[in-house]
Amino acid sequence: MKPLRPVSAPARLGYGLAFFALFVAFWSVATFGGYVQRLFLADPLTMVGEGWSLMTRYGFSFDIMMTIWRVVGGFVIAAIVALPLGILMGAYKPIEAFLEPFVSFARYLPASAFIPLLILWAGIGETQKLLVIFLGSVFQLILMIAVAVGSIRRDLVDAAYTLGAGDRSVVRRVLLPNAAPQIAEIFRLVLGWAWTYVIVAELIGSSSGIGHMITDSQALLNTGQIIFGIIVIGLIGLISDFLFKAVNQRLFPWAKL
Amino acid sequence: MSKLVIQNVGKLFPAQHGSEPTRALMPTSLDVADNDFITILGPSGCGKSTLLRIIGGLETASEGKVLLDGVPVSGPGADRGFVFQSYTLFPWLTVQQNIAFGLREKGLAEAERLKIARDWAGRVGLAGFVDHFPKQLSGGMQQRTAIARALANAPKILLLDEPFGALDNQTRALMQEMLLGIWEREQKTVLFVTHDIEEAIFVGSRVVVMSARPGRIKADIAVDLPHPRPYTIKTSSAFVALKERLVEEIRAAIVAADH
Repeated sequence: MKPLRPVSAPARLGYGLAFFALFVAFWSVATFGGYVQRLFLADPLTMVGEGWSLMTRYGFSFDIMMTIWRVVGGFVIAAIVALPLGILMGAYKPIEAFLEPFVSFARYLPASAFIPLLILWAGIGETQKLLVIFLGSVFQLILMIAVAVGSIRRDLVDAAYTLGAGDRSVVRRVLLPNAAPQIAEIFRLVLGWAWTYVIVAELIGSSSGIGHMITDSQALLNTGQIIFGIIVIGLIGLISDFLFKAVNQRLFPWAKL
Repeated sequence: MSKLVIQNVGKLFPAQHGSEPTRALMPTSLDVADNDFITILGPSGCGKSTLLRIIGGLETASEGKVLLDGVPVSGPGADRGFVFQSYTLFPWLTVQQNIAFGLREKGLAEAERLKIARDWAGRVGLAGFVDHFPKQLSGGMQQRTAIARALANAPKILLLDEPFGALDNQTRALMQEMLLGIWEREQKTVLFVTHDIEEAIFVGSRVVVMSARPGRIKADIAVDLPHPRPYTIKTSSAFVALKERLVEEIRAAIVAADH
């Protein structure tokens, strides 16, 4: 293998699938071969069977929808709050100096550690779940958007001024379009993180959702269902990643040329 | 009357960490006549770009003032078009949208903006590339777009800061001819900063030579070559004589700065 030599698209797909196959093969050997007790790890076939009964008999698709709605809901609220704040911080240095230290501090507060407090404040309803996602993503979003907006080549800003642009125009017509592809990429990344918070939020005090199903299955020692739940989360993440990438490429063709 | 008057403009960078303040530009005066094409020639570090950026309003002078049509310059504005050495097209806009950028700031209607932009794209030889993004263009094409973008604004004066500095020699020669052609047709006041002696003579009507450390004007030489100037003029005896003289001036400026 030569360093940095690119691979063709079909080869890339083949390599990617090969690892999945290897993973399942390893898992099969471990379980069917009797190296791991059924109590601790279900084999792939049991997992598929449990998944099938979850979907057909226990209404697991409703849980999936609930979880997706919570992630998307909390994330959209966080994005609506973070976008203007991040843009203001990136564009105007006094606002950055004012907010940056606090946001940097708040970013390290673990969202999952807030769950007991949030239950106290907001009960165990949907508000609490949305708040966990919101707290987990909003500070990350603000900081990353601010960096994206602020990291512009100085000479592009100079050029805009010499073309007669005013201060607001520079923000709207130069800083924003320059940062837009990066902001879209930040959304993709942080949405992935939001998925980890929602499951934790659902593990505690919840009556629906993928996380809730996983805790229920744990009580019944049904590792097949647990693994199925985890795989569903992975698949949803893969799909949303793919959608984000496709939309970004469509929206910002100039960034990839 | 002079279009642009530079009165004792100097630049002193403030002291940092206990070191002495640095003088980038001695107080400098220069009068630029309407429709004149002046090239400012000097070695690197002579403050020629600083002077141009002060005129463009991108930097503030430590002393003195710049008057454009008798009005003092404060901050950048559309009346002074600027072309940078680095590629400064907006990567998210097409060639046409880039050229129309300033027209939108002026409040022109979209149809008119695009019409003017298309027209200017044609004048710099990019009629077939209006819908291309900057990344799809060569360096020379990007700088042509940047010149068109500055001129589409109909500025009172065009300021160019080593616009062809990053281009290869052949492209650079073609760009010089194109710029000169535009100037001959449009009648613009132009200030052109360069460190290339041949370029300074070929495009300029007047060459202002600057010396380094601290930057100041050392000589001001008229270029009495006829217009239009074909590229073959570069081998004429008058051109060669001017070049020899300027080589001497620049050498002296560098030697003086180094000792």
